[in-house]
Amino acid sequence: PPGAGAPAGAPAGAPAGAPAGAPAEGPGGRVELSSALASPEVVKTASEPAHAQRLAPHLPPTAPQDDVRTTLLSPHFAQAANQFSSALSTGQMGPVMSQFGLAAGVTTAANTGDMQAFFKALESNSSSSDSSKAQKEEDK
Amino acid sequence: MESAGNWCLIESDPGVFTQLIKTFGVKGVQVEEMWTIDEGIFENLRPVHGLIFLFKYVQHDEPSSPVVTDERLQKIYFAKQVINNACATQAVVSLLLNCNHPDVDLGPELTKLKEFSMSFDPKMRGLTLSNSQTIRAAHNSMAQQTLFEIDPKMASKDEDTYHFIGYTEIDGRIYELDGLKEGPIDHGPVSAEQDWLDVVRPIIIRRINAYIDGEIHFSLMAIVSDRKMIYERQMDELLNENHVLGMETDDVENEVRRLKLLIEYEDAKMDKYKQDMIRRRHNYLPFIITLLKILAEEKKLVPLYEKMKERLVKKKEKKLKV
Repeated sequence: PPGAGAPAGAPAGAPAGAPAGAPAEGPGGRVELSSALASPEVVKTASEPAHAQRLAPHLPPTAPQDDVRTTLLSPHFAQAANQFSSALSTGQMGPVMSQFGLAAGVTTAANTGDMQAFFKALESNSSSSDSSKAQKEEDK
Repeated sequence: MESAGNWCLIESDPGVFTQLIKTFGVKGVQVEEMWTIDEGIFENLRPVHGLIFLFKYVQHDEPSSPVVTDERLQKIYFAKQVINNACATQAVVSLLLNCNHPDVDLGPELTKLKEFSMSFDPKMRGLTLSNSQTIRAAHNSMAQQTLFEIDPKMASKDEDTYHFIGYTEIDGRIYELDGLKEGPIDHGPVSAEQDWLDVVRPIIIRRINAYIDGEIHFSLMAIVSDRKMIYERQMDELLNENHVLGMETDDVENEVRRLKLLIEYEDAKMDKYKQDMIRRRHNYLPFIITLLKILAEEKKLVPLYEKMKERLVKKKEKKLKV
């Protein structure tokens, strides 16, 4: 079953133009990604050399180049992250996900507007275990 | 970091305003944020061409000074606000078009706009302003990059409305330019021996005090002459005067050193504005997706969500107690 944050009545695979319901937590109580992604745990994980290297091509092209940490803590990134989470919670991110080559299960979860389901789908798909992927589809 | 009103909060950055003005083609001015309204705050910023006061809009307006409806309207550039999101730009443009100072070069676009719309009434001026391609393009180029086409109504339901108003001196009187009012508001004369900034300060303090009581957010910005231009001018004068008056070389050297530092400071500030604009316009979506993938691989995504939820619940509980 979908998590506590799921809005009612957003069918999986709904077209981007017609997502249903209000943001998952309602006005004023929305789960904001920006503060979560600027937390020390995330900054530490993202700054590990192997990860930082993967993120480097997507950093803003400032001169001198900002590092991952500076970016995660910047107000500009915060705004983008919050925009992402509000679009996600209104079920508008599904089509965008498929453009990034994410698995169908991730796109489906994104379409529901349920951030928890989306995160779960991302985790189970990145484990690249086919059985857990199938399990995920059944759960929907 | 709160999402509410982000559009306007970003827009009220002095770097954004300074670059906005440059994008209009205006030369010789920049915008500085004022952190206090204490006496003497304008000392190092003169000449000040106008003040922009930004506050969270509330429908409670104290009866204020008289609204100008007479023939002065033909000389004062006042435009009614017809588009809400343009309020910041409108405040800046209104102040610039009323500015008549040798430091300020309006440039071809704003000069054309002024010549074209001065014969219009305030409503038509507002329409002309919001229909100007140049101004709209400049304004939009300052906005944060949007990640994708989303329904803005859904994302911004609980956003606060911010409002920008301008204060300036025109022909020896202080006027408040608020696009939501019927006309400029006359705050009275500035006598010959007075500086308009000393006269406007108590007017703004009164306004701020009213907002502090209501816990309303506000900020104050000043449109000033390009600081680097001022310092370079002072440097030139200093070096020329030195020949004429035979000043002590030590004093001259100290002053030259001081001005050089100030110029370096201005250069660094302008560079920071540029870098901030690169950040502001950057598309962070690939970065966010890659980051979420990394966190998913590390199995740190679901725990992160749970922490976010927890924090939210705590926040709600706190709110209920109040």
